[in-house]
Amino acid sequence: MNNREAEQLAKQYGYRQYMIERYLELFGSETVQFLKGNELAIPSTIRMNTLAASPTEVATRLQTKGVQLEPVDGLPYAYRVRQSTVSLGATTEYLLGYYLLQSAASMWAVEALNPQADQVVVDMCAAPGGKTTLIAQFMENKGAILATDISRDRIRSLRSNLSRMRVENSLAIRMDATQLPEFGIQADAVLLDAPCTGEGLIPVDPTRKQSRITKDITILANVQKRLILAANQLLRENGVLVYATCSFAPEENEKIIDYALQRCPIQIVDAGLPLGEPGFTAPFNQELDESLHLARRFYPYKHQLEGFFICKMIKVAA
Amino acid sequence: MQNDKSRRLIFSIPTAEEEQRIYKGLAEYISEQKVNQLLTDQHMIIAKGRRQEVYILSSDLWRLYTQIQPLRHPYFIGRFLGELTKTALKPSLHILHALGDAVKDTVKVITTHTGEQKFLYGQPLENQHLKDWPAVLEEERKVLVVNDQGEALGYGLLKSAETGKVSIKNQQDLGWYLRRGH
Repeated sequence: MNNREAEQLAKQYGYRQYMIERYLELFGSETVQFLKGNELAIPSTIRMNTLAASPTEVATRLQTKGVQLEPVDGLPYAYRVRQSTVSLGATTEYLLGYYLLQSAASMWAVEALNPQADQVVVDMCAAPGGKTTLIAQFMENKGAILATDISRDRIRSLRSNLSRMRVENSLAIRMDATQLPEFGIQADAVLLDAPCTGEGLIPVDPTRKQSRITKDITILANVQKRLILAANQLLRENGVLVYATCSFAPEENEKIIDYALQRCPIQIVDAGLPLGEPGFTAPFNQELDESLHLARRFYPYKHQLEGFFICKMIKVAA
Repeated sequence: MQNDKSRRLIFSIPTAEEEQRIYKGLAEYISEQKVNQLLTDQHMIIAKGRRQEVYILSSDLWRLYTQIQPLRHPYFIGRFLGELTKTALKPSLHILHALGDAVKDTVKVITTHTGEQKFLYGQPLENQHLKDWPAVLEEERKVLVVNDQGEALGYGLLKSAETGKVSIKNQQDLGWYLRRGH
C-alpha cells in the first residue's frame, strides 16, 4: 500500500486517510474513478405508489407542473427526476401519497426480496419506511408486514409514511430488532437493511467522508452480526432473507454474510438483479465463502446510484 | 408498551357502545352501506392510552397481532380509523381517501385550485376558494374537502352559513404530513 498516495488522495478529496487506504486495497487502480464518482450528484428518484394511483397518470400530472421525469430501467414504478421547478416533497400529489422520494438503490433491495401477497414479511430496521411501503406495494396491501425500528423519532416517520402511502397491511413496533425472535414468527421473507457507517451515502452527504472512524465499523459489524442471526431465527424453511447496507466496507457486508453462513442454515442465491458488481470473496486478503460473488454491490461511479450492498439468501433445512 | 413506559396502552375490542360511536363518526361522511363495506371482514381494536385510537385489521394482520400483542404493544397497525372521542369517531388522514371516494354530497365541499393550496396550508376557506358546496348549509356541520379532481384533502367544519356566505374551518388536512408528520 502506498501511504503517500493515500495521504495525497485523502487531502485532495477530503477523506480520512484510513478510508483511502482501504479503498486503494479494495479498488486498486479504480480508486480515483471511485472517488471522482462520489463527487458527482446522483439524480433523485421518485417511486410511484401503485396502491394509490397509476404511475403514468401521476407522471403526467407532475410533468404539467414542471417536473421532468424519465423512467428507470427495470423499475416500472420508478422515475428519475431530470429537472423540477417545484419542491417534490410538497406537491399535492406527494401529500395524496401518490409517490415517495426514494433512492433507486433501496428499491433494488425490495426487488431482490420480491415479497408476495398473502405472505408474512418482516422489515427489521424499517424507519422511515421507504422500503416498507414498497413491500406493501408488492404485496398489494395483502398479507402482513411486521415493521420495527428502535428509534423513537424514526418510528414516527414510519407511521406517517405508512399512513400517507395508504399501507394497510403493516404492524409497526418500536423495539430492538434482535429481540424479534421472541414472537416465534415464521416469516416468509425478511428484509434486513442494517444500520451501517453509511459510506455509500457520501455523494448525498459529504460529511460522511470525515464522520466515522475505524472503530465505528467494528461496533456496527457487531450489531449487524446480532441482527442477521435474529433474521435467520425469524425465517421459515425456504424463506427469503435479503441483507442490505449502504456501506462499502466488507466488514459490514460480505464478512457479515460469511459469519452467518457459518452459523445458520442459509444459502446465498442469485438475486436476479440486472445491475451491480459481484460481492468480494477475498477482501483484504481474507478468504470468504465463494458464493458471495452472487451478492451485488452498487457504486456511484459505475451505476449512478448511492453505494449499496445487497445479498439474497434462502433458509434451507438445518 | 413494555419498552416505552411513556406510552402505556391497553388494547381492547370495542364494546357495542364504542362501536356505535365509531359508526356514527364514519356515517357523518359516508352512507351506512359504505360504512358497512369499509368495516366488512375487518377486526377492530382500540388502543387506549392518552387517546383512544381505533384500528381495523385484516384477518392476516389479526393473526400477526395476536402473536405480538401479548408481548409487545404495536405502535401502529393496519388502518388507523381515527380517534374515538366521547361522542363519535374523529376520522384520521389514513382513511381520508376511502371516505373521499364515497363521500355524501351533503357534506362534500369542492375547492378551486387556489382553495386547494390554502387548505393544504391549514387555512380556512371562503366562497371564492370553493367551486361547490352542499345545497343545505348547516352551521357546525362536518364537511369533507375535496379538490376539483375529486381527491380528498381533509376535514372541515362549516362555520358560518349566512345567506350567500360560506366559511370552512380547517379541521385537519393532508398538509399535516409536512407540518407535523415527520
